[in-house]
Amino acid sequence: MPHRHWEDFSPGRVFESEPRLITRDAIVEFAAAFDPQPMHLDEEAARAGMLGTLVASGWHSCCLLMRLLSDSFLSQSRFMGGPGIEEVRWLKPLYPGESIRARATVLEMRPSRSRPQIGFVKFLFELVDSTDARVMTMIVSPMFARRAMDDASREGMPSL
Amino acid sequence: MRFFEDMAVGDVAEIGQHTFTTEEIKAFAARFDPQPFRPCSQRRP
Repeated sequence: MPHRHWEDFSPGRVFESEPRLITRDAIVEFAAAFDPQPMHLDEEAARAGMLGTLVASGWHSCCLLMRLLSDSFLSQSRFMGGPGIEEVRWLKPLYPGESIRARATVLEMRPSRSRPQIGFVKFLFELVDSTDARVMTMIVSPMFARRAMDDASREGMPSL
Repeated sequence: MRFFEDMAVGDVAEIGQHTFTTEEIKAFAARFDPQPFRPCSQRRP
C-alpha cells in the first residue's frame, strides 16, 4: 500500500524521476497512433517543416511526463487522479535520442471542502532534457487521500 | 487544404467519433498512466 498521503506533501518539496531515453521509433509509433503530423512521423517530411527535423508530439511529452512521475513518487503515494490540467507549455522540441527526466515541485496545498478525506496538491511538473533545459511544463492539482481515509477504511475492514 | 485565412472565430468542426474499448484503455494506461484505479474500471458506467 502506498504510504504517502496528502499530509505528507508540503510547498517547495521536489520529486525527481529516473532518466528515460526517447528513441526515434517510440516518437514515430506514438505519433502514428495519436498525432499523425508529418514532423512527428517521417524524417524526410519533417525536413520541409518549421523545425526541419523529426520531433516528438507534444502529447507524447505529456504522456512521458505522466509515466515518469508514475514510476517515481506517484507510485508511492495515495494518488487519486485529478479534475483537469490548468496549463501545459511546450517550451522546446523533444528530439530523438534525448534523455529526459521529470521533476515535480509542490506549489500549494488545499484540503477538499466537499470531501474531507482527500486533498489537492498543486504542482509544477517539468520535463527536462539531459542539459536540464525544460522541454515542457504543466501546472496541475491532483487529488491525494488524506490519512483519515485509510484510517477509516482500516476500521471498517473485517480482520483477516 | 485549409489555411489560416479559411478559419473564423465561431467556426465549429465535427471531428468524428471514437469508441473506447476496455483493451485500449488498459493498453494505454500500462504504457503511460499505470494507476491502479484505471485497470480496476471503478468508473465503468
